[in-house]
Amino acid sequence: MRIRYLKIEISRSVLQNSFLIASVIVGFLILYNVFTFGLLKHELNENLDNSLGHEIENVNKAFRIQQDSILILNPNEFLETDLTRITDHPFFVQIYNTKGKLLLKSKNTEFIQPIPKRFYELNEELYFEDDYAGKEEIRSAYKKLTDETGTLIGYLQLSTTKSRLTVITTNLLIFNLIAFPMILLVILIASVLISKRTYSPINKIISTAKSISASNLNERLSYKADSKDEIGKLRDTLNDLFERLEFQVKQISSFTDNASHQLMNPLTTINSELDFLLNNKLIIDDQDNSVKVIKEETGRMIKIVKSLLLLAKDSNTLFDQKQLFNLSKIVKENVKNIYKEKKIEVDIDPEFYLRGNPDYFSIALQNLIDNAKKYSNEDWVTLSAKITDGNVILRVEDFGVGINNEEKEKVYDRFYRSEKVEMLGIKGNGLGLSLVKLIITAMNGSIEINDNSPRGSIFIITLPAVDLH
Amino acid sequence: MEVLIVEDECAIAGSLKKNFLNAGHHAIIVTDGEAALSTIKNIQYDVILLDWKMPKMTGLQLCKKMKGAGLKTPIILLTALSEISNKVEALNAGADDYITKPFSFEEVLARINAVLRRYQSSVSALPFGDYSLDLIERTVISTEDKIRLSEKEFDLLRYFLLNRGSIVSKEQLCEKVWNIACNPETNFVEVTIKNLRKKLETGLNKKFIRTIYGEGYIFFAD
Repeated sequence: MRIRYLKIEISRSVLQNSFLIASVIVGFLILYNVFTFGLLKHELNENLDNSLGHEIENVNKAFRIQQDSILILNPNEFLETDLTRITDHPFFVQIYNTKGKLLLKSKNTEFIQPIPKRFYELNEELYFEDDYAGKEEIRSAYKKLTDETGTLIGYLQLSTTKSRLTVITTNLLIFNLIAFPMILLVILIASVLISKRTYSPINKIISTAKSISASNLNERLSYKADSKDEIGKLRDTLNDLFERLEFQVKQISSFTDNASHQLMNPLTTINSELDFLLNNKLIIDDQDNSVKVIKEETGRMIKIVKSLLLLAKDSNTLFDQKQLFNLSKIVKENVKNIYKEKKIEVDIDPEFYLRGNPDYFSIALQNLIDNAKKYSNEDWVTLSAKITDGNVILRVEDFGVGINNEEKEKVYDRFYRSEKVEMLGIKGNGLGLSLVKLIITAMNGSIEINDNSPRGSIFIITLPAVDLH
Repeated sequence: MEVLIVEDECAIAGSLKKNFLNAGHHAIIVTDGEAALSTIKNIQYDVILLDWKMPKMTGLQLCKKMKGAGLKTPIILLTALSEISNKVEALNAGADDYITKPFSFEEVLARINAVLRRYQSSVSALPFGDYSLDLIERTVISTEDKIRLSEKEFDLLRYFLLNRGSIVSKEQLCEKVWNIACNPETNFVEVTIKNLRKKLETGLNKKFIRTIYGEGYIFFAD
């Protein structure tokens, strides 16, 4: 699967890699945030408790309880703005006895919902507790008040709103919620870019490796990389592979070349001897017949060997950049010399020129005409050509058995014969069309098979036209 | 007809000889270049069949040597299929035609007859289409007319004829026809081609020399 994003092609492995990197970073970020958030909350609470503790001591020093009434020792303490108004950092004081009777409260408690009075069996001198005054979140510090004998007579409660703290933590939370998707996006893009960078040498190697085919097997990957790192190793391994491949291909083609050459000499002799026998009027009818069969089969064998010889060749040697030929002339020569019966219709402009070796093109043409004739009952073949977009389009049409769609690519395989023609018992070696394809491809052309109507096939050959003046 | 077969493959040579005898001709077989060179001193052959691939001396070398020594007998090269791209090489070596192996005897006879017909009309001429270039008179001969050529026009046409069907560049023409290195400022190649075109194409009313922009010229005989 490949998706296109901003005209940059991102492969699946790059995406997978990026998601992996992004999720690791994001996971770490989440953990880090949770930890910081907790720590911050804890620190803020500690801070609050400290100031509450500090203030409660101050307040504690400023009064004394005498039989359910308060004796204020330091009135200034109770007149501090923090205790009289709602400030940034207000302190609400409530002093009550064990029965819950309120003995004193600071002035600013009027501006807030009633703060619940709590009675705790306190062991500690100081106790801190989260609470609510109406809906307002508060934190309270408690200090037990004792008489001279040490009996509990009441409580000093000092509360403060947590709104400042809540604002800080909520802000942090909101900031995180907004920032998080953005960070995620940035990380994702960054990791895609990094992954692409990591893969770019591999992509370069892939594109070079792709361009190396049978015709330029001597080429090698020349990507610059240290031979100790992965990219360098990949390059060296692939180059090694190409080396072995080139050797094998060369060996196979030189074997085929030698073998066909060796076969050619005896075949020439056999053919020549058969000519002698057939021209010699002394042989009797039965023998004449069998000699004719041998001659025919020798012809087939020669054709196979010739085809193999050409197929073994490097496709570059099949193409001659410097040679031009006239299409109509070549077609007419082939039709006139080989097919004497006039059932081949030729409709080709005499001014069409093609680039390449005319002898090889003739072989391709002969194979196409042979096929068209061989597989049709009517023996009727049409050859026509036209120029479209600087290309000569040559059509070879027959009304024969036709080629099934699923076989249209296979027919170019060496020695492939369609089941249909095998069943019909039409002779052939399965090399003709692979040879045609080889020659046409070597001439920078292409070949395509369409169905003819009502039946049969149309071979469409597209070759670059040459402009002559 | 006296035929000399120079072929190291005895079976092929023997079979050819039998066929020639059967067709009423006389054939002599030699298996290497040395023997061929010595036999042509004594016997006047009508045609020589030469195998391309032979030990000691290749058919091409032998062909050059024979033609270099002034031999007027037509020579036909027998080549393997993979060598058909060397057609120009064969014609440049002075061979009159070539046949690819494996061949049928009918084809061999037909080619021999075609070459002999050409030899009877003019001893040394390069035919193209219905015309031929007389190598001694330095004229183009058609059925009704004779066209005189200047020295360079003749050399140029001769080079074109030996390279027919192949694109030749201006550089190539400078080097091979004029024997000088090409200079882009000079236009003698263009001028000579223009003159040759005028003589051939107005006289014979056909287009022989075609231009391929950016590449060069090409000669089509028909």
